[in-house]
Amino acid sequence: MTFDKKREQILLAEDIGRLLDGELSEAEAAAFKDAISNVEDADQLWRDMASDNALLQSAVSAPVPDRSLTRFQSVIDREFDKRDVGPLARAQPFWSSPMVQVAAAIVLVAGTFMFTAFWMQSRMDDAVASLAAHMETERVLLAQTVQEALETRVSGEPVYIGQEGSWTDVLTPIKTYKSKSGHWCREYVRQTTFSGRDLTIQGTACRDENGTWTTVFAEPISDKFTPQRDDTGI
Amino acid sequence: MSDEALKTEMIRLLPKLRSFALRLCRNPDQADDLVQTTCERAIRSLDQFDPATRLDSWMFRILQNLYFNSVRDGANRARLFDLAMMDFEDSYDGAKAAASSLELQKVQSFIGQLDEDNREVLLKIAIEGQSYKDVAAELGVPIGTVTSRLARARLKLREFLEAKDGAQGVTLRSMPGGMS
Repeated sequence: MTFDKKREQILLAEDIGRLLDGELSEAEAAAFKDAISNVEDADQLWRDMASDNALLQSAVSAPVPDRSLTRFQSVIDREFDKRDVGPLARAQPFWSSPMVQVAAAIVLVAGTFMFTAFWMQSRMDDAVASLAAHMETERVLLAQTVQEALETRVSGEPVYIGQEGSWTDVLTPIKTYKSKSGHWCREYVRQTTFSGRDLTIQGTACRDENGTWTTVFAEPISDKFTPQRDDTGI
Repeated sequence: MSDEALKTEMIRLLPKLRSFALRLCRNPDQADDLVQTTCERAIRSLDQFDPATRLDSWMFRILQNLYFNSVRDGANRARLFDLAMMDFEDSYDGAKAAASSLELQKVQSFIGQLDEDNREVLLKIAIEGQSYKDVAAELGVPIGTVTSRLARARLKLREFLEAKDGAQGVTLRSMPGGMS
């Protein structure tokens, strides 16, 4: 390489250096790139020097002042420490937050309560409906049994007018008399037991001309009633 | 990669990050702030880091984006982007960076052999990103001298790298029964 060639190359390298180091304005840089793009050697040198520069930059780092390094390391420590605690909280889904859990519990309880209430209500409606149907069916049969009991049985003799499962209905005529109007009347006690509970009614029924007994008076009593099996008087 | 490994790798990257930040900002204090913000940002979004990729590439990108977002001046921004991409694409992207560790060693040994005047200028400008003017003022020499020392240093590096390549080629070719 001649001296002139060497000199030329250094000048080119200086220009390329200015470009690499950002010493040229945008316009200058564009003009320079344009100028060397047609010169094969220059273009090649530009590429080589750019890649050398990058290599140099990755091979060598500027010394970091201790103060800066300490600062960076403390930031890294701090952020990683936060992360050690953080990921658990972040990794957990939103529903793990206590507030959300409380809200969910309230919704669950309220929902269960409302559903239960609705369910119970509908069950009770069903029960009442079926009970009403049952009573309506039974009423006719009972009526016949009751009529028969009042017509034929002696006072004090308990008459089972209905028995089904834990349900029993016992009617006991107590006293028979003739009213002032001339009708036969009988006092009776009707004890209905259902699942261990008692409903005792004391009533008075009177017989019309057709022989139909009709209750004219009835009131609930508690435990005054004692069957008098041996009382046969009418 | 575990957090512990990432942390170690990140600390190991600090000098490179700071050099890069220094070249972008041309101001040590700004560079420090930028590196700090980069570390914070990186660690906080570490879940987004794909361990199959390179941590250095990722962090350099974060640093670069943070810097560009902070630079308001559009023209300056375009110039810097040009500059940064030149550094960035070649040195920190993917396989090339990994493959060039032998070259990195060569460059390091070259720096050690370089004479003091040239080395000082090369490091201050190419590595630390100082301006020619500042370096000239610091060394008490004209800008022309700085420019010329820098050019000589770079040409020597070019020669050194080519000579090493050549020497290796010669060795291979001169081996008995070797490649021709």
